[in-house]
Amino acid sequence: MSVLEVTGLYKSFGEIQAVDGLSFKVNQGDIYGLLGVNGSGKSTTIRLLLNLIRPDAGQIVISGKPVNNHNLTLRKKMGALIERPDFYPYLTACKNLEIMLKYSRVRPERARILEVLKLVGLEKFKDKKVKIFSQGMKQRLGIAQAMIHDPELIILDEPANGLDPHGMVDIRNLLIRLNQDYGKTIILSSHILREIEKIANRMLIIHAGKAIAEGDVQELIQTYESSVRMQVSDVNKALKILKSGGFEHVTAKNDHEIICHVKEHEVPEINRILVKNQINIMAIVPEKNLEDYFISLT
Amino acid sequence: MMLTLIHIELEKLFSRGRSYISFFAMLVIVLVIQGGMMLDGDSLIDFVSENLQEVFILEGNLLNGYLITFISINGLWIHVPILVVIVTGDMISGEASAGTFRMVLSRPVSRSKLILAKFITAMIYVALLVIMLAVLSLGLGILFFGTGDIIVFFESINILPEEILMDRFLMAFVFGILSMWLVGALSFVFSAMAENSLSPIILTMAIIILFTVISSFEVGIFEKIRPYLFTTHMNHWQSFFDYELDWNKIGNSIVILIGHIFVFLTLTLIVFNKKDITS
Amino acid sequence: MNRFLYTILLFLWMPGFYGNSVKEPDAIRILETAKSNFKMIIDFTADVEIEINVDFINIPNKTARVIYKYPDKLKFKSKSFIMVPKKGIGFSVFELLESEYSAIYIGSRQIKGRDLNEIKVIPMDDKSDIALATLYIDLEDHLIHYMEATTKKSGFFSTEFEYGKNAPLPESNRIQFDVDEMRLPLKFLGKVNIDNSKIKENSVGEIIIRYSNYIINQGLSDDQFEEEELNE
Repeated sequence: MSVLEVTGLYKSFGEIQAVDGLSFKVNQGDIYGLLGVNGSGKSTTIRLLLNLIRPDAGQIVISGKPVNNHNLTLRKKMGALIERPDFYPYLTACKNLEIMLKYSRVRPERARILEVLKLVGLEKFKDKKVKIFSQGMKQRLGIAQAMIHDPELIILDEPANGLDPHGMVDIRNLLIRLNQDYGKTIILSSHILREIEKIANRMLIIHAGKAIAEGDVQELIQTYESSVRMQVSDVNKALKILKSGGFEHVTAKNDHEIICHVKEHEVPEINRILVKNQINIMAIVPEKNLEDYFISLT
Repeated sequence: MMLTLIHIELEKLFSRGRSYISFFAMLVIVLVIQGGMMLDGDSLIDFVSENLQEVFILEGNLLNGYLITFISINGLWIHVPILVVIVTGDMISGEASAGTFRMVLSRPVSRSKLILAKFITAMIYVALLVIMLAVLSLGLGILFFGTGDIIVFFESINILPEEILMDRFLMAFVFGILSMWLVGALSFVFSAMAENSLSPIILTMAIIILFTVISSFEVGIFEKIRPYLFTTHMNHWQSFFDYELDWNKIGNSIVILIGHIFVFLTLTLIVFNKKDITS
Repeated sequence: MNRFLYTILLFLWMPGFYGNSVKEPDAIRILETAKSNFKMIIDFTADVEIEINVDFINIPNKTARVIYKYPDKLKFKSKSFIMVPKKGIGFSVFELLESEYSAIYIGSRQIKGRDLNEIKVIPMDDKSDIALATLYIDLEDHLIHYMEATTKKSGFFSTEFEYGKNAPLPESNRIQFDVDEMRLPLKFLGKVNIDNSKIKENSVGEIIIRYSNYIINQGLSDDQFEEEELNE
C-alpha cells in the first residue's frame, strides 16, 4: 500500500528548474532513499512534500489525500527534518520539543520527551539551552523533533550531517528499529551513498531535478551495472585499449588497478581484450556497490 | 488550537532577553524625563508661561505629574514606535532567518492561524509597552510632582482641570495603544516579506518618519494629502486634550486606524500564505 | 423800588445767570471721599470664583482664595491653576489714588440707570503703568462703579464693579482688556494651531471675579503676600 505518491512534480525558482517532472511512490514500511549530489533537488522535493513550497505543477498524495493547505491533519502523520536543524536557541531542548508537540496538536508529556531524548542520546542535555549545542547535538535533536509526535511517515533530509561515525551508527540503528519494530515509513535523503545503501530498501536517484532511476536498491544494482576491479601491468595502456573498444565506464583506481563498470557478461570480453594486447592481469575482483553505480550515472 | 498557538508565541516572546529591552528602555526614558523636570522643570514652566505672565497672575501647581506626562508622550512620537518595531518587525522575519519555520510549518499548523497568533501576541506586547509608559509616566509623575491642571496649546490655550485629566489620559493612552498596533501591523507586512530582521524595522520607521514629516507641512499639496496619512490620525491622541472632546473627529480617526490595521494584517496573511518557505 | 431790587436779586441767584455760576464738584474731593470710604478696609480675605471669557482660551470657572491689604498687596491662592489679570482688579485703583495724581471732573453720566460722575485721573508718578484713567463714581454711595484705563505696556482695560451687602467691597468685578497685543507662547505643549483670525484686531477679553465670604480686618501680615514659586 502506498503511503506517498508523487506524480509529475515541477518546481522552478526563476530560471532554475529545481524539480523537473518527478514521479515516485513510497510504500508503507519502506525506508526510501533519495539520492543525489548537492543541488540535485532533494531538499526542494522534501519541501514540496511538506507543503513548505508550492509546486508549479504535479500532485502529491499522502495516504490517499492530496497535500495542500486544507489537509493540515496529514502533517500530523508526518515528521520531518529539513536540512540543518534550527531551534529556538534561547529555549532548552525539552522546551523546544514541548513546543513542537503542541504544534503537532499532541499533549506534551514529559515522559515522552525524555524517552525520545534518550533514544537520540541527548538525555543529559534535556535542560540545557540549545544555543550551547554542537552541530551534531542539534542534528540529534532534529531527529528527535521529527519523531516526537509518533508520526507514521518520517522524512529526514541529510540526517547524518554533523555526526561522528558513532553517531551515524546510532542513528542508522535507530531508523532501522523505528522501521522494523514500530512500522514507520522513512524517507531519507543523502549525498552520502553508503548511508542509503546500508539502510534503504528502495531508492530514487535525482539529478538536476529529474528522476534518473528508481526502485529496489539491490535490484537496481543487479539490473543496471556491476563493476570489477582489475590489477593490471599497465594502467594507462589498459584504459586506452578498453575505451577504444567501446567500454566507456572504465576508470583508474590507482597506478596498478582499474575499475570497470560493465555488465556481468562483459567481464570475460574485457579479459580477452587486455590479454590480446599483452597487458598482464594479476587479479580480477568483482565490486558491486552503489557508490560506483551512482558516480557512473551522474 | 488558536489559544495554544498564542500561548506558544507568548512563551517564545517572553523567553527572549531582547523582548525586555523595550521595557527597560521605556523605564530609562521616563526616568530621564522626570529627572530633567526635577532639575529644570521650573525653567520650562517659566519659558512656556512667560508671555501669559505679562498679562496674568498665574497661580497653582503647573509643574505637576499630568503636565510632565503630557510633555513626555508628546515628545516620544518616534521613540515608542521604534521600541515597538524592534520586536514586532522581527516576529516573522526572525523565524524565517532562524530557519524555525521549516519545523513549525511542517506540522499541522495553518499559516493563517500562525500569523494571527503572532499578530495577537504582538498586540499584547505593544499594549503592555504602552501601559507601562502610562503607569510609569503618570505614576512616577504624580508621585514626584503631584497633580494639578495642565495647560495645553492645541488649537487654543486649553487649561484642563485636574478632575478630568485622569480620564483624558486613560483615553489618550488607549488611543495610543491603537496607534502602536497600527505601527506593529505595518511592520508585520514587511516582516512577512523579508528574510532578515533589520529590513522590516528600517522600512517601517522610514514610512512613519516620512509620513510624519509630510503631515507637519501645512502647505499646498501636503495639506491635501495629510488627511489620508495614517500618521495624521495617529497624532489625534492629542484630541483628548482639547477642551471639548470632538467625538466625530476621534471616532473618525479610530475607524481609519482600525481600517489600516485590518488592511495590513490582510496583506500579511496574503503574503505569508503565498510565500515559499525556502529558508 | 423794593420790588425791582428783589427781582434783581432773584436773577442773581438763578442758576446759569453767571454761566457756570454753580460751583463744579471737586474731583479730588470726590476721589478722596471714595478712598476714605474704602480705607475702612485695612485687609480682607475672601473666596473668589473666576470666569474667563477669551476667544482662544478655554478654562473652566475656577475658585480661589484672595487676600488683600490696603493699598496694594493682593494675592490669590489656589491649588489648581488660575489666571487673573494683573490690571483691572478692583483694588488696584486705590494704589493709583495713594500716589500723586491730578484729577479733572468731566461731568455726570447715566450708566445702567445710575447717575455717575466721570472723573479723569492722570498719575503724576512716572513709575505708574497707567497713563490715563477714567473713574465713574456714585455720589450717593461714594463707590467707584466703573473704571477705564490706558496703560503704558498692557493696552486698555475697563472694570465694572457690582456692590451688595459687603460694600465698599464688591460682589463682583468684570474686567475687559485687550488681547491682540498678547503674544502666544512657542510650540512646546501641543500643537500650536491657534486660528489667528480668532485674535482679531482690537479684540477684547473678559474676566469676571465674584467675591464671597469676606473676612475683614484680620490683621494680615506682609509676609503672607510674599511671592511663592508658581509650582509649589
